[in-house]
Amino acid sequence: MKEQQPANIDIRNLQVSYVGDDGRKLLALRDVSLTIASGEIVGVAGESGCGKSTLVSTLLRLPGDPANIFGGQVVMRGIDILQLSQSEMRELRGRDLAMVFQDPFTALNPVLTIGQQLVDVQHRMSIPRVARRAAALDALQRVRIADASRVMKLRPHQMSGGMLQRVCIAMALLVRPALLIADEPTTALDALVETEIIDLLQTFRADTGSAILVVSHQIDVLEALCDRLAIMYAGQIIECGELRTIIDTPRHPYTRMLLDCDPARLAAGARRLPSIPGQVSRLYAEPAGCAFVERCPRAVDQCANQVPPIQLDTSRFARCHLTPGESR
Amino acid sequence: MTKDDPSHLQSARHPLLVVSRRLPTSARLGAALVALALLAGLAGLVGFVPNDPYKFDFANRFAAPAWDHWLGTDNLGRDIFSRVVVGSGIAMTVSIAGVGIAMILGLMVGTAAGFGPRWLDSTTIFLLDSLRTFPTILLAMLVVVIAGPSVFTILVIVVVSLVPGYARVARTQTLALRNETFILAERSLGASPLRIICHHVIPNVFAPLLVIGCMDIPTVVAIEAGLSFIGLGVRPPEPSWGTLLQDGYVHVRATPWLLVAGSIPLALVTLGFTFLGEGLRDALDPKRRRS
Amino acid sequence: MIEIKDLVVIHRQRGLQRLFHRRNPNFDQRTIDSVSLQLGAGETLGLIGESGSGKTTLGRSIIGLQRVTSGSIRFESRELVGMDEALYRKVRRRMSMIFQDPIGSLSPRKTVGELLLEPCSIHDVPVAGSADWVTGLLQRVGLDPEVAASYPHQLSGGQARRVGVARAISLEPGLIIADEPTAGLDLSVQSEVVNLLNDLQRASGVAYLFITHNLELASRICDRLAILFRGVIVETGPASSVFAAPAHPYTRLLVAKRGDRTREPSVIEVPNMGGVHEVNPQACVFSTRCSFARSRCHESRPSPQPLADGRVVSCHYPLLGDEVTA
Repeated sequence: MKEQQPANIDIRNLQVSYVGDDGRKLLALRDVSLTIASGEIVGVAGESGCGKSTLVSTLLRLPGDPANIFGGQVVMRGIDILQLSQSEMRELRGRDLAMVFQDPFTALNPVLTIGQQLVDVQHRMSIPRVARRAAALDALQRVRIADASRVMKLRPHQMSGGMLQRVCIAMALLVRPALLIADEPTTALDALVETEIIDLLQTFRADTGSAILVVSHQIDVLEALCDRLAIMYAGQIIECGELRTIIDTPRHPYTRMLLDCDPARLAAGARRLPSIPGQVSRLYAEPAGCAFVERCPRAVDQCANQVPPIQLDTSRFARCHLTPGESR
Repeated sequence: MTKDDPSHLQSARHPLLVVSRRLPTSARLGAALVALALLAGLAGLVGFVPNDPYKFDFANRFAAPAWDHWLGTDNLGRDIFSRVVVGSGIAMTVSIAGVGIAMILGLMVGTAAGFGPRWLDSTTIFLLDSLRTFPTILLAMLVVVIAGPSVFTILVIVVVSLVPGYARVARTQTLALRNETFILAERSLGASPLRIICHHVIPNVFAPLLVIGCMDIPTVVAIEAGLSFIGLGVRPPEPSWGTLLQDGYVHVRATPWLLVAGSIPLALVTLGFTFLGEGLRDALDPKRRRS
Repeated sequence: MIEIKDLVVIHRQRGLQRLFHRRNPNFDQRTIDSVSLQLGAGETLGLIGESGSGKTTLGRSIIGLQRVTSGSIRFESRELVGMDEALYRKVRRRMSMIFQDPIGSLSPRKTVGELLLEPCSIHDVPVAGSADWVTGLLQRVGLDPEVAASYPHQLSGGQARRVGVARAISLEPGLIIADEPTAGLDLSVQSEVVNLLNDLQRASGVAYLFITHNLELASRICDRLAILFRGVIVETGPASSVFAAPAHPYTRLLVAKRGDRTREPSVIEVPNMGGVHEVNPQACVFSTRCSFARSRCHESRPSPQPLADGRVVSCHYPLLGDEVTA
């Protein structure tokens, strides 16, 4: 059994860059700070190029990752995991860190049975094989797969995407990690299956008390799942706080515009959908002011020259100096 | 991750041009050797050599290398170096023409089999496999008996031996490509199968074939040399590397230079094309292509 | 302008699977089971379905990439089922398809410019100045003319999607089949693509078959909806009324997916070893998952019944109003 207690994950001032194809340095994460308490589900929303994928890969620090972490810490149980060596990171992954990937079809080994993979993932636990098998069966039942013993003998290609994603969650359940990272867990799945996966992730949290970080570009999924929400743009978290506060009263114009794009929020029969003009630009150097300034409908002169102050309300912040009245 | 990374439209680079930037040192070395071989071949074909490769000089047999004969002379007083260069002309012609023709034929047959109806595929496979199982040496001897030994004979043997393998590779690649979305998209536009094969299948399929072809060139050179060595290929007084080796073997006590002349170029050509081929294969590997 | 009647597509299993299951009469799955649909000029019909519903197969059947087992597809008063392939290729000038994978649907070794000129070259439509033609098309879909020199792998998903749209409209077709045109795109890019499709429709009167699993999106932008479950159309009707008051239990499930916490979390069915769901052709196709199913549902297939306001539903006990009728 697992001895360790659940833990908080404290990401502080993370700065990451990449060397792009053309040899120039690309700023991927700029001063990113986020705390995920144990038992909490935190969502990170954003569009392509915002840095949310880099955030995930920085936490995992897989070997061969070309990112250059040049600032910040990620603290778990008092240790900065960014300072750990690769072999220490290997210990961490599969024990304190677990991940659910976007594409369930390629996340599992196609030649091994589900049972074999579920048993394998418990290799750190000093329990006999029989007990591992029982734990695997139990995990499958907890992700609500009927006829678990038959599923143990199946291979990934015989199962649907929704089922495979459940299996991946079952694998994470067996690990009982301090932090579960779900990278676009429902993007490749159908609408109804989405709901089930959302349910399962919440059950996961209840069962294990793990901290869960969900990264997605689907705001409606995050809305159904998370306790807190962070919005990323151009490598920074531009707004963060309690879910309902952000969704109901967004402060940053980008957040507002992003929420407006969700079709579920539109009046029926609205044929024209709101969108965000312009494109995310890649940053090669720290911009003088707000990175969103060129696309922001509420930008004023001040926005281009000063880095917007971080406002701390009780539990939220937004990188925008506009007051609620102004950002309407 | 959503597939919507903002794109800096870099100057559009044709996928194959990007390749040339990625060749490792060994491949560049290979390319250099290949260039040398090609130059030598060209020189041999046009006769751009220091001495007359056919001229006898009995007074000067088995001479050691010197300024007038860079590799010395052979058992009949002929300049070895010139003979090597002319031999390279034969080697390069046969190998490049042979591999080239085989590749074109193999591509045509393979893509047709892979893209066309099932019966075409089954028939083609049957024919190709039958051809492939026929032992090359027997085939070679058969052809020589029928057509007489000559460079053309060698060419025919080479092409017939290589086509089944190339066709298979082309077919496998085509089968893999057949259900790709962009092929379906072309069909949905109303493109005919021929158009799809020429414009969309072949360009995406010939890269692996190019690599294999490149690595096969030394094999063909060796086949030609081998056939000439046993007398089934180029006949004397034509100076093939094979005949040089044959002479060198016979007269090894008199001069080692004939053996050297026959073998070193062969080794260098093999190294060169193999390195180049491996470098090309790694560079063309789509999995290594970043967005 | 396009009318589909009783379309059936059966995917025949091949090889060893066929050997083992030969005795099972239900083995050959009906991917499309007696589907009937109509789409008029200038209209947008949303085809909603999840994976395995057959929505992609339906789209491909219309454009002729999928062989149809029986039934009829009449397009611009021509019967497409059984049409000779050479003739079908000519028909494809009048209809085009947008595929789910934006970058994967573009031939990797061709530039955008070459890809945009292809439809003209395939159908022998002469083009006065090819550069101008390409620029014109790119502008219509909101892309910079410089994109013409790029290769597909250099484009973003949104740009590739627009190139696909440009190719689809280049010969002014009457029908565009859009298979998940917004899948995988960022929300703001989704909106742009949808707006683009709307603008093009307003300008040219093209009809869309909008295939998606995203009911929320479809209900906002389509005129009518058709809900597909395991190859059977369970409900059709005007988009707003289908969404506001779904008559079929499956539609209701799709609409209420987030709000409905009273629903029992489902335990999912596991297909048997062949990956084949046992389908009882005598029963309603949704009966095994329906929370309102009764004995009649397991015994006979419901036929489509028309309701008020232009809706058609295939259910023995359609949900009219907010309550279930007895």
